[in-house]
Amino acid sequence: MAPPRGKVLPGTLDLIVLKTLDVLGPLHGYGIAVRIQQVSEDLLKLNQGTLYPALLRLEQRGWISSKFGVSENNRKAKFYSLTRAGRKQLAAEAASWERMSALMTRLLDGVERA
Amino acid sequence: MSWLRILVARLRGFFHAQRSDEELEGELQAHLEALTQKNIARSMSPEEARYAARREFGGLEQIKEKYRDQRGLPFLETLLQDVRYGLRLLGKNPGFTSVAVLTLALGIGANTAIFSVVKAVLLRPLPFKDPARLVRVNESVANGGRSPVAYPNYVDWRAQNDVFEEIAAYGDCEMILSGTDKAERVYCEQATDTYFPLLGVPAEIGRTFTPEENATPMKYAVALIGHGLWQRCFASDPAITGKTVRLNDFDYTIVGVLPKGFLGYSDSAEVWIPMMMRDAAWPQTAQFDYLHNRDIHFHKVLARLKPDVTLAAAQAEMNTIAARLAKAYPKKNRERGVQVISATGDYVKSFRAPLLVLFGAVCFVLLIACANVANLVLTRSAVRDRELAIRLALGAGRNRLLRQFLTESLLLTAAGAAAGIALAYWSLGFLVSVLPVSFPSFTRVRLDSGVLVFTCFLAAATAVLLTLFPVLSSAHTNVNESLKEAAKSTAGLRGRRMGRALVVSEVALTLALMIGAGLLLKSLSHLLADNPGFRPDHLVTLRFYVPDRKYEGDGRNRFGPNLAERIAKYPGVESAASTFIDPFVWGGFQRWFAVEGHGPISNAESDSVYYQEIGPNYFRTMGIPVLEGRDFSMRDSLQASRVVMVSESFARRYWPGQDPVGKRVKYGAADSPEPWMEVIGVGGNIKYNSLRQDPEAEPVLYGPLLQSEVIINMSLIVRTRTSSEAMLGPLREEMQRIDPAIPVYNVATFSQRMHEDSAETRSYGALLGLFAALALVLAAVGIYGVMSYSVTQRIHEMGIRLTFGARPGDLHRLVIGEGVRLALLGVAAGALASFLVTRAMTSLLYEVKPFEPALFLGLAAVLTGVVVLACYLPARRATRVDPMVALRYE
Repeated sequence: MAPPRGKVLPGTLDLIVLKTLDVLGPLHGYGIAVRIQQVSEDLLKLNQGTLYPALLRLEQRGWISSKFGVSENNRKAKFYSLTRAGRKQLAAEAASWERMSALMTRLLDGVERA
Repeated sequence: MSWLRILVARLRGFFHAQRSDEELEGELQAHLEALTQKNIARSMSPEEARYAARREFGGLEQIKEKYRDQRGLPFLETLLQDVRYGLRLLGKNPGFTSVAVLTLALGIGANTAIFSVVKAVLLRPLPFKDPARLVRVNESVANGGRSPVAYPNYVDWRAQNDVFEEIAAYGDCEMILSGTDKAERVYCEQATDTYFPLLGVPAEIGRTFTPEENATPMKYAVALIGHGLWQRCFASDPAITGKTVRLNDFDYTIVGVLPKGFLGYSDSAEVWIPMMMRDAAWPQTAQFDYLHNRDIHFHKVLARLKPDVTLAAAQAEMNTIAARLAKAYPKKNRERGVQVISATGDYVKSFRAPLLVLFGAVCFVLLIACANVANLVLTRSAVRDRELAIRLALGAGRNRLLRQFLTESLLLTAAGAAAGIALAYWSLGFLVSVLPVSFPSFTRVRLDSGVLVFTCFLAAATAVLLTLFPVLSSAHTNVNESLKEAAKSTAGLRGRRMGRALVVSEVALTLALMIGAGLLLKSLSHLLADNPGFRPDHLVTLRFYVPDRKYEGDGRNRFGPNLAERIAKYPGVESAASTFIDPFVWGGFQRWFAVEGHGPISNAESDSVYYQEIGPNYFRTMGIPVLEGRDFSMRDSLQASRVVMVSESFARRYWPGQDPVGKRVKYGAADSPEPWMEVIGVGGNIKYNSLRQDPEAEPVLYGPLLQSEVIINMSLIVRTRTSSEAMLGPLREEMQRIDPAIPVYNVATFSQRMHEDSAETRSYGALLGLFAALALVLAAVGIYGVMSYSVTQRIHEMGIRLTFGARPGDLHRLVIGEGVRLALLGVAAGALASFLVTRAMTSLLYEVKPFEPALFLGLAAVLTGVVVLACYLPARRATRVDPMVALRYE
């Protein structure tokens, strides 16, 4: 059975965005969307537009900041970058995600063995 | 503090929405552009590329919407939107808006004003320590009435009870303060030492009374004065203690000043002397031996319940003590019980009934007002059915619509409440000046925060109710049907049913109010039209004090009658007489007596009636007919044999069918040592206490002032030849010329006195009448609204009826018939409601029964007439319908 094209789990979009900015440094919205698509190999079905309210939310919380800059095709664009608070948040969320994921793995493994 | 950061960010977003919108637009367009370019690079046609980009990106407008919700304060934004929309809508319907706001303002304003008074008078605690535990202890007599307390009984109560933390007795009376610039009359309380600690009032300067001062009669001539008197007569002297105050020609040493605003439990005292000094203040009454005589019931007793003792427990304990005392003093305390009542209840009892009736009346007005506004909103919601349906069809959420309706209603009620509060603020002063009752001195009537909260709560409740109607009637409306406009049948039917219920309740409430007002006004006309038994025109009364110590023998007795003789010669005076009553203020006291040859009149072996002492010429001056025998003359003196006169009702009660002249009565029981007194004449019945008095039920025994044992204060009654009001000044001056040391007070014409006496009924009647008129107008407007709505709803039906040959008269009958049916239902419900209302009013009524068939039928007819009129206009419109137009409408 082909793996279903998953929806973004609630709360994970934040983590994905933060991680993307952590790895690639300052990016504009399109860049983030492209990166997410590359990494997920199109497994994640994401309306790219939904990225923007999420970016606003992260910015309101102080985890990312935005600044106008010039894009690769010489256009004025808004660049988002990770703040210190964002880095902390990312670490915390990643850790909690790993714990949860390990738990789920153990659980599902157990189910299969039984 | 992350929520704070978010709030700040959102606030910034809220205020910079426009710039941020432009930025977002740019950002999103750039993103779409990039996607499109990417797609073109994948060799799509530009057209295809753009579509694919759109698909990938998602709904542009939804994203923007979400972004905006995330950015600012969507709750506030929606609210502002709704408020703007609501205001625009209200502005577009000025008729609807002004009627609704005005109606609400009247209801809420009247309610706030009356409730402010109710709260200030009835709900405010007494200004004494822990008023909840303060009680009054009265003696109770066999017939269930209550009486003041004999001092020895108080002493026994105090010694024997263990339910009271503290118990105190006091008596109150008028005294003449002299030795200052000008002699004046002040109110005095003679109090036990426990009185001030009981009320929790310490002296402002000096001290209150000590237990020693309450132990020995006539030993400690000390006095306390009130703050006002201290300022007025002693120039706020800080070293006042040790100075002297002269009261009834006796000197007292001032030991303290009581705090500002304290006027004693009687709420009028300015001077206090120890209970033990009574005989110094009233040497004339020393013979009665107040402090040891169980037959003199004169004192008022206050007590404070112990913290864990209930009123019922205290009553039970006092019953036991009363039974013990009745056994110990079988003659004196026979059938004397004790009554313990809450002091607060005692204080407000005379205001309670009328204020609650007024409060009930304004509640009715408010209910009618709310019904009207509900009606208006309901009517309008029918008009807005299509708007609602269209908005629902275009995807508006029901909650969103509910919210918008709520905002609109809140706007309307907020405006109504604001106008109402303004109205209340303005009318409160007017109300207090119109209310004739003299409220306790510590009552401060003003709009207070509690009342405002209450009003706002009312307004909010109204808003919610108003919202429920249109949304309820739209909630089940099928969008499609509403759009097709055939849905009127269901929504309309529900609306009409609601409308009918409103009409019935408005008629009922209005009728109850009108009957209440009608009964009061009828009472008033009885009060004013009833013959008082004397000629009240050209009659003046002046009260004065007869100093005790100046006169010897019967000089004191002759003082009043002599003064009357002198005044009678004054130009413009027809005749003058003296009496010790103060007409319509104080009507004499109850005196126990026995009738010769008559069996014991009551269980207590003697009866009591009002006793009045009068000088010669009293009947002629008052214009009271002497029906039998003769009037008192100057010869009926202390040296002559003892005589009395009686009133017509007295003669009828004790000697029915016989000639009362020559019969004999005596004070006290038949075996008392008092001398027998011969009845020399019978005077006609009069009202002297109040216009509500029934002279037949209150016989009077008249004694001659010239044979009195006690002469204290009396009044001069003067019949003038010219305007009595113009004579007030000259008469007062003439009295001062005769003896400047005699203070003259309580000067008034009889018309003024009787006007004041009826003032209460007059203004309660006027206020209730005002509310009833208000209710009638509101109800008429409301019923007109309902009927118009109903006719609008049935316009096709009317058209069809006309097409099938109905005549205009038939349609009139149809519409008016419905109105009349509703009115009659309302009248029936109103009869029930008025039964409840008028039962609460009995104490305000005079010579009318709570159920007056003629009045009831008359008012019901008036009300039905108004309903018919309110139906007639819409009915006429119904007949003017062009059948073609009505049918095409369908």
